[in-house]
Amino acid sequence: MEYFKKEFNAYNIHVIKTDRFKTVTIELNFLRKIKKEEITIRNFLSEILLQSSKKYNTKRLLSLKSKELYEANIQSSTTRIGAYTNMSFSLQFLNEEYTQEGMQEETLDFFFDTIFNPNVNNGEFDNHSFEVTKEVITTEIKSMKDNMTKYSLIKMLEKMDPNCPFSYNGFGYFEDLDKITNKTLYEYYQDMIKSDKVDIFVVGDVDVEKITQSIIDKVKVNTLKKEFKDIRLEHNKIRSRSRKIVEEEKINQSKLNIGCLLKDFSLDELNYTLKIYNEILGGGTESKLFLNVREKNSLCYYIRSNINSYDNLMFIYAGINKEDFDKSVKLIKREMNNMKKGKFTLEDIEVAKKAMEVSVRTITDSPSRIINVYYSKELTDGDDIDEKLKKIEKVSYDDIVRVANKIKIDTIYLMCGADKNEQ
Amino acid sequence: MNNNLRQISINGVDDKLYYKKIDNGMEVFMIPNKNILNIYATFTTKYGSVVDEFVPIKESKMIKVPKGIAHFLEHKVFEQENRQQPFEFYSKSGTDCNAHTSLTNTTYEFFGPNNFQENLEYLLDFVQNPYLTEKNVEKEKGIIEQEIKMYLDDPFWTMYDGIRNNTFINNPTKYPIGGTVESIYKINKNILDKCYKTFYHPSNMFVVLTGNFDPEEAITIIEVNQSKKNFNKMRDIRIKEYKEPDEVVKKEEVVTRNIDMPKLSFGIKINTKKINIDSEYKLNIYISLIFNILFGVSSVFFEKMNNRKYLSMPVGIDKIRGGSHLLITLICETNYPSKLVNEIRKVIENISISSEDLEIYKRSLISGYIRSFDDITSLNDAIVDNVINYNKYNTNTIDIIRNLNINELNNVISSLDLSNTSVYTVVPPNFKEHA
Repeated sequence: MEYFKKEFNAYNIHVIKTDRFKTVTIELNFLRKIKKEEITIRNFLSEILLQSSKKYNTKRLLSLKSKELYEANIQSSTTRIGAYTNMSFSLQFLNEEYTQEGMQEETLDFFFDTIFNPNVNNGEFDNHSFEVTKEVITTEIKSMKDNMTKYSLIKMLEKMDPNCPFSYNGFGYFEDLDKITNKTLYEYYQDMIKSDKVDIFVVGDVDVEKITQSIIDKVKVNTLKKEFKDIRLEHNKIRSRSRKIVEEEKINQSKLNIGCLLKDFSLDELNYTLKIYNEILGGGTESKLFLNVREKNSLCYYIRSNINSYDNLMFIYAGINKEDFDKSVKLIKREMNNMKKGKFTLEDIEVAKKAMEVSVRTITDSPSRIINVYYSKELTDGDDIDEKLKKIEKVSYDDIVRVANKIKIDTIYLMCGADKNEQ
Repeated sequence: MNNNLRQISINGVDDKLYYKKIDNGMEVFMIPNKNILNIYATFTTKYGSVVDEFVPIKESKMIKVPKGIAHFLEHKVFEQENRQQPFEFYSKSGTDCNAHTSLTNTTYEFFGPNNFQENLEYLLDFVQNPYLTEKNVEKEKGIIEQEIKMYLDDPFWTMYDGIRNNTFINNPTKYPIGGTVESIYKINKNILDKCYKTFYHPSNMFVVLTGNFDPEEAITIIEVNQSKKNFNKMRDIRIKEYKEPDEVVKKEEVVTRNIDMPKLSFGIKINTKKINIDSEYKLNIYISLIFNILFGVSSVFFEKMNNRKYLSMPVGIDKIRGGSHLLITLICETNYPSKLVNEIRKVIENISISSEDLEIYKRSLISGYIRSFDDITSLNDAIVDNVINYNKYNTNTIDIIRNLNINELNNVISSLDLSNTSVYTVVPPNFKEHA
């Protein structure tokens, strides 16, 4: 695996040459500071660009073309990374060794043309595509409740700090949707191309020079980009005593979430020590929470803890019967306290390290995970695979006890099922 | 080369299939991939939730078992006596371990790049020697109750259960895979033992390996391990067979759930025994192709429904096999359920597909097929699926796809009876469809 980076003022091209895959993966990222009121328009934009293009002006024509190119299906997504928001377009296609000569060039043309030559007339997005996209976004916002685990987490985060981007609802907001017009959408599109940080990734068995030149020819981004910084969310106020919030919802299973804000942790603590702490506490089937809350007390089917280092946030989540709320919270607190007191073994640490080490070492098995490593290196000066492995190894028992004692519970949240179970 | 380990070429790719049926009847399917680091191993019994009545080993009468027992047993196979528990064992080498139960099978698996020999031996050992006690069976009930309740809050799962229940009359495909909170509390150690002894015999099981390993080494590990164990001689397992009528149970049902976006599952129950074609595998490819061409994102139907705002999200297209019948489900999110259903009916009443459409979709199938070899998880799943449904792994899939043709397609279309349908709709409280 070889890594090449070409920096231009307007964008960067990253090529990871490897013969491990039968496919070539390409990803185009637009990044800027997140604003709550821009979430909906960004979702809108990432969707409408895949509804049609100037050349293939309906969804049907666009998707027939992608099938003709051996299922060259473009995917888009918008995700929040700490204080920033990332819009990503990606495409995975068969290396032309398996299809026909010339397919790579044709597929790249199709990909970049779809993004940079949208279905726009007189400074406005095509009205039909606009209407269809509006329906898509409406459906997405309405489908928030389809996943109660996710929904209850959003509800807790809103309670913890409604002004912090971690509580922004990534599905979008109806009040912002109503304000979007064909014209403002196109203005936003132009502004995004002009001012967002742009990074392009390629993973596959490609001719590096050739594909780089091909991308330069097709990418129409040429404005100088500003510096960007402070990607992590910081929390100033930390609650000294936790609080409990119970809300009712008509559900069969009650959702217990516990949220902790993290403050004053170093980068390595966030990326390594806390991750190992988390693995021991609630990472998987050998964790303290799984063994004690599920296996010993049969209170739940799933229970996990999670660290989001970009957000300086830790949360624990489980599905329980509401009668077991107090007992579950007590058990979880007990396990967190045991971690503070250092009641875990060197073997627990070894198991946690092994899980992390395997996960890091096998990054090279997946094109999208390879891209993630290089993108996070680009964004936060993150570590490469070898550095990661070294730093995992270095974490000590004392390091883990130290971070455990710095973690404070902010909110204990229960989304409580209605009295009568079974609808 | 190990005795009788067969190496079989797979058309269209350089990858090879290694196959052997070992002495105790267990089958082993392997496709190595040296380009990646991970190994994915699955160990499957051809025993899933649809087994509702059967003759237990060494008995002579059919017994009926509580719903959800195959899934309950999956949980309990993880209990071990006098040795490390599976999660503990695998976590030491950073290996993931899991299991899942479907309508047709129960599969145990590990995933990871380390300790291949020990991991593989342990997979065979833990699945082939679980330790059930009255106490640990009781303990599991609270956990499974929560698993069932988690699914009750998922509207897509509600539709998956609802449409099967409303289309299948006799075939136990109709019941929820995990059973109900009520049925699982009826399960006890004695009945779990009977199921285990009957369905976890090696002749009813198979191993599938994908990823970075050496097939000769793997088959040796498996054979040495199995030669140390004694199994009863197995006669054919007798499972109750069901005569399934072509009709559905209920043509429509609407249920209310705490959601905001209405959804529906349009089910079409097809008796595939009435279709004249030389291979069932090919028939399944044709049927998937037909419904994807008719209802997929590139279809005229989807474009029309988009324009009328009946649909904005792509239609989910799924196939569920239940004995002699295939249930096709079209999963739609819509504010206009009854109008949309009328439009779906118009399409299936008058199917026409052009050869241009067929050729374009063939490219998409070829691409998906070749790509699956890069992903050891989906490749392993595909092999398991092939073995469960066709008792073998098809190494000539690419040729079957390339040879799909409009005449055969039209032949399939003309013999399809699409008149037995059922609609299961999930709506928010107080939902009214707009005129």
